[in-house]
Amino acid sequence: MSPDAIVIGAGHNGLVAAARLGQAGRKVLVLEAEDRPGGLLGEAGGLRVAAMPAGLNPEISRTLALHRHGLRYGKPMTTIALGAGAPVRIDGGRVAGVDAATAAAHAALHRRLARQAGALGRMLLKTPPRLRDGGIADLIALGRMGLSVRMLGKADMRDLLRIVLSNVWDLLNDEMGDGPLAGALAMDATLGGAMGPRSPGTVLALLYRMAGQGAGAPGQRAMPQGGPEALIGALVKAVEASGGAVRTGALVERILLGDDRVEGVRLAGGEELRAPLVLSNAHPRRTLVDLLGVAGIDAEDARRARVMATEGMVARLDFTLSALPEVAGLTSADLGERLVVAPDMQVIETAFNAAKYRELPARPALECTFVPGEPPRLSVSAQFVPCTLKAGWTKASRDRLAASVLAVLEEAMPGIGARVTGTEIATPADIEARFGLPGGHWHHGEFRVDQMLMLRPFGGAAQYRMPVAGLYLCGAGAHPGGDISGAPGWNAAGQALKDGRAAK
Amino acid sequence: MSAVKTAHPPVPMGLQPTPFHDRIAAANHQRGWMNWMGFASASVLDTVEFEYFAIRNQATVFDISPMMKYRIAGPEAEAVMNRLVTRDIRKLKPGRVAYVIWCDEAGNVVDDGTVFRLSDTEFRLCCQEPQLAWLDDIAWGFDVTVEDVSQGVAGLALQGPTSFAVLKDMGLVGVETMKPFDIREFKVKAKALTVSRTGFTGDLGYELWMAPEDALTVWDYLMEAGHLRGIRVIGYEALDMARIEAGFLLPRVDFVSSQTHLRPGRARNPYELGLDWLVTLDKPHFNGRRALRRLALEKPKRKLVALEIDRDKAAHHALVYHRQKKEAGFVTSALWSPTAKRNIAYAWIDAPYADAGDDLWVEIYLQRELIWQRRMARARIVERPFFRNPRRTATPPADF
Amino acid sequence: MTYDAIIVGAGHNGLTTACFLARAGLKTLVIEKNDYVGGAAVSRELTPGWTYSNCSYVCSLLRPEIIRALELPKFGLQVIPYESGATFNSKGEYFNYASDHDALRRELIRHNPRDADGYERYSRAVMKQCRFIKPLLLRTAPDPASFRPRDISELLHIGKRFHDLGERDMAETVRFWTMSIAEFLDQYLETDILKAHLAGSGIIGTGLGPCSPGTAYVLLHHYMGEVDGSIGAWGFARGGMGAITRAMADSFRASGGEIRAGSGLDRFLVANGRVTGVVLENGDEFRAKTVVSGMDVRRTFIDHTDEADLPEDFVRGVTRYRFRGSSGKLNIALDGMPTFNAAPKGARFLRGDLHFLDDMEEIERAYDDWKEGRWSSSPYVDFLIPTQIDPTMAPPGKHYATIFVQYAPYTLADGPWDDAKRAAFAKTVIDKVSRHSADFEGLIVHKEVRTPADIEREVGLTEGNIFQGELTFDQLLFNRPVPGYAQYRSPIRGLYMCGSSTHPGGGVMGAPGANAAREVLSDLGRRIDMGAAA
Repeated sequence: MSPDAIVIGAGHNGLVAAARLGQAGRKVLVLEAEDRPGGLLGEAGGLRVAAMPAGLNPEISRTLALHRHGLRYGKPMTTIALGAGAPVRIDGGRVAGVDAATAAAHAALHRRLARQAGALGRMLLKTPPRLRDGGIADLIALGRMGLSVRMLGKADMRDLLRIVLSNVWDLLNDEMGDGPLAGALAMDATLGGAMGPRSPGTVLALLYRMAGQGAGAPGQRAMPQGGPEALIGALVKAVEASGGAVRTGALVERILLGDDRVEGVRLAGGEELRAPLVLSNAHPRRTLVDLLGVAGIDAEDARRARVMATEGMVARLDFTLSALPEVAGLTSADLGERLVVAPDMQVIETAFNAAKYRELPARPALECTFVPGEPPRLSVSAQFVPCTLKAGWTKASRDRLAASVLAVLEEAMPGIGARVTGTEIATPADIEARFGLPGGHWHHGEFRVDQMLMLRPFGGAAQYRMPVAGLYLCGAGAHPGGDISGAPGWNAAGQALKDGRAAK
Repeated sequence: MSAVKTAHPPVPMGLQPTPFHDRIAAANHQRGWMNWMGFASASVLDTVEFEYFAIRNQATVFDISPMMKYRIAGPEAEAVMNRLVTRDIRKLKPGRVAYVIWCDEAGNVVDDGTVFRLSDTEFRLCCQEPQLAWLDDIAWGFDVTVEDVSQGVAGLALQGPTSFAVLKDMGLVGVETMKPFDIREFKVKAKALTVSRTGFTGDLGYELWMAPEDALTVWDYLMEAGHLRGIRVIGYEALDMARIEAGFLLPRVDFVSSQTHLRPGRARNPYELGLDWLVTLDKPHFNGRRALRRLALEKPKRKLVALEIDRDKAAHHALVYHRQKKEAGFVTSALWSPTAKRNIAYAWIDAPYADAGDDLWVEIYLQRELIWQRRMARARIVERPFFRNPRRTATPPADF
Repeated sequence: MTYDAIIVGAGHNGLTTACFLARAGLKTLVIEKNDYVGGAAVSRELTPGWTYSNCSYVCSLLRPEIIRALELPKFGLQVIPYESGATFNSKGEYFNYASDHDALRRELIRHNPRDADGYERYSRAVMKQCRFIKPLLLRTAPDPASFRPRDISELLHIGKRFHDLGERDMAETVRFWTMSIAEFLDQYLETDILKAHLAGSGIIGTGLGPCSPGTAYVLLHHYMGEVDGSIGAWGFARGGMGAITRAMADSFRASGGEIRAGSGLDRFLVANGRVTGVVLENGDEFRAKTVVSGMDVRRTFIDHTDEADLPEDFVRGVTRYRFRGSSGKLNIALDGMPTFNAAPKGARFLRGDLHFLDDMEEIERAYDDWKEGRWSSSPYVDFLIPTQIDPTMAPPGKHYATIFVQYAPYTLADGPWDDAKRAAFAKTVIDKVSRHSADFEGLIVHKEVRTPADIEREVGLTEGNIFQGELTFDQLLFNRPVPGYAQYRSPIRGLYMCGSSTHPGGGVMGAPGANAAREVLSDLGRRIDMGAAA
């Protein structure tokens, strides 16, 4: 019997969408190309692309009863900024390791941004309204968005409207000055994107990250007990509990198009699976151009999918170690926290300078964590490492990348290099090839004003509906985008259900 | 700084000559030129009336070399053309021409033109406005090449009742079997000549296509052959009169391309333009199809209609009123038709007034010896075209 | 002595406000620190026989509504359009940005036929945005946090205009306002030299590079100009930029206004939260219930106002307000017309703006130098020889070259500007020009070198920022200069702002001055006279 809906890709968003559809009584089949579910969260080729997930949106966890399927979050991760001096420990608004004035300034800034992020946060679990030609519901939704900003009060609203499109460099310099703390915050604002701290728009990226409340606190990361596998496992169970199935090793080659309606998918190898509803967890460009095919869409949409900004700039490196190191100022428990090596914003900006010209930065900025085990590993995200390197991704470029990362690590954790016994590298180009993810971009498209809300992935296609009836986008390329919140999948399933009811 | 090589000369300023320029300039007694894509295009050579009547009575020659021409070729050329235009190009056989329009994603018209199917895998698109960027977008992702060949092909419109006779006299063997919209290859004076039975006059006519370097040879031979058939070189103004009578619309005059307008709400769809007959909704996806499917079910907000107007003064730039009071639209093209002896116009009329039988009036301004007068003239919505002669489609055509 | 209104600073905005106030019948005084009027719109003879437009050098933004309302043509102002312009690259090629549409199309086809079409699309996209923005220039920006009917109706007005664009164009507008000029151009065009030529307009005067988001909007700021109604055209004021302010000053005097030049402001007089007058550096004191400052927001409120008279949030806002000068200038007297290696004989485009660039990356790298506190080693220059068109600025056969340089920092990483550094800076620029013009250096008879520090010292523009503050979104519209104070009024009653630190910002546009005058007059229960059509 053919399913009611097919979900392409068993990333966390695909699984969330499938589970929500399942809860609503739809029979769902999730198709995953890899031999295991999880997408970027899962292990592929020896490393995990999304090594340090933000927590799933709590409302989604609750509604899908993921705790019943074994999901437990640990405490939010502490961010530890390693620089020249003593490590700076950041737990949300609380900071240790800086002078009192800076700590107070940071606390005030954190409160202020958290309030403003809260106003944005109310938009995360909603389908963005259409800018025009929509109905009353869209007008009301637009009004609500404006209202939630107005509800902030005059001072905060003015402040938000001033900083929302500005850069994190100026904001942090104004409020607390540069240094490891600013470096760590700027890392939050820029990681995964193609903008340096001085690029206007990075404050919005920071606010957006803080709007995610996954770990119970604005913008903090949380590791599920048992690691990312535990989250995937719980989501798969939720899908199965609602009557759905996940089929791995099933690479979707084509979305089948009938007379202007989606009819199912064709797998590599030729097997055709029929369903009146298809949700794609793939990148918008891959969904429209590769899977649906440009012949099925208008040239304008093809152009938008083609020009959307999606140059990934994070390389992942995993180093296997002979043993966990001793790092001055850190306990052994600290090694499992989120370690940021970006001594100040200038370092990040300088790294970005090179990437602008499609070159490798001499000193990448790093986010890393130690993973216990036999052997233990150090898992590193390095930015800015462009997907399309001018010199090409030769062995020499890869070696240079690894060497530059190790050199930066060595300064922050002297002696680490001597413990490295093996290196796995996933450049953005590797991630692109492996996952069919254009640009190897974590968030399935740059996080910027012009690719947000009703403009994500692009204007006129932001309500999860793709141009063909019955086809929905449920991945990070849709509002509200990346990190591991599950919100795009949740919203897309909600929209598909709503449209289905309306059609009846 | 590398060694100084010779600097590229500045691109020329002013209207540029077409391959036929020397001959046309010699015939252009009025020295009236217009700008057509940067080329010198004759507006009136001696007398517009005589030029017009030559279209309806003899054979006329108009230089269409400045027209934009694109070559679309490759294994997926048919798929690309079918994606571009609203008609079903799969039904267009090699050696045939089709009049087409193409639309944007909102179902608004980008441009109109003619598609020449030169072979299974090669097409030529002729149109008024540059379309390379649009064609590139349409063709993206397909195995096809798109090139601008405008400068590589010279063209002449040979139109009028004796045009067939002229071609026959030139020795074009078999030209009598050409049906409307046929394309055929010939050789004259050892030069390759492509002939299509197409045109914008609503009359018997052909278009001749050749390499620019052969242009003058073909011209001279054509004039020689046409001498006894009353062949005459004409300018744009006469052609425009025939064009209005024949029911053809002109971009930038009767409608604005959805790609060139700057003001919101100026784009127009085929249903508004009365070009429904060019839209085939039940073919595979083409650009704008989803929007057009919706629009097909709606009543257009306005319509481009043909008007027949009382009185005899052409209603240029006139506003149209309902019951002499309520503004209902405006005229885009107007003409006192010398052949039909009717005062005709195209006009945009807002939907509630766009049905035949409505009480419509056109406001005409007349100047009589420096005194301006305003006249309200009754107008009736009629069918396009205003002129169509059976000789246009007769095969073989008559040898007048 | 007592006046109805005092304007501080005889720049083009101060004079614009002054003219409107005088025309409304107010007894108005303008004070100016330099002993000449004009601010940054001046014509100066620094070497005998040559007139330099030694700060601003082209006129495009001056609103035609203002030219008409102040009757500037009657007082001698003539704006003459200049032609085309070109970029030379290091391969010895040139791109001529011809003003004639057909010639430009031919030139584009010469470089790349696809860019001929791409350019049409690009220019329509820019034109659509110009059409959207233009009507907002001469309106006071609404305060989105306010519930006053006027603000709400103005917000609705903008909202409606936005809505009328339609869904696709609304999205395009958001993209345009937030994109980088490099990405914007990459969407339409392929040829490096062409993109480099166009990208300059996105970064002139800013502390941003072509890859920085927000620079596409800056481009608009430079495109907005109108010379005789053609959007995007630039022109020279005949007699140099000083001709504009000279005409304004004459128009002002003709309406009964008075100008005192030669002594700057010492401080504003404030009593009970209300301005009562000004004291000059020379000790002169003048009284007025209305005082309008044409100086930038930092000089007005940090340098010349007692902090105790200002609310804390406002002071914080002003302190935070970013200037960051990024431009330098060379004014050069030439003994003759230089030749350019790659220019064909008879090239008309030498009369336009010339640039020496390979690609946008070269500009971005120039920006990186600036970020790190150095002047660009290969700067972006906007090079013009206005004397080819304007015969009044140099003796016959001699020429005046204005070279605008982007980027030059206000403070250098290795310490303040000194004569040696200024000379090295000038050499960098002249060497760059000389690579394209073998005889240029030999023709120099006099030169004036202006770093951001010089511009600050002489004109008074803080940190030498030519726009009186950066044109980034956090400093535009209702955010300019400080949120909550974007309607030309300051926290001190009777004290207003009319400089480019206010909406819509810099360029010799006059819009801030006109908008400020409208607000002043409305507080006095009067209406601004914008002339016939308003």
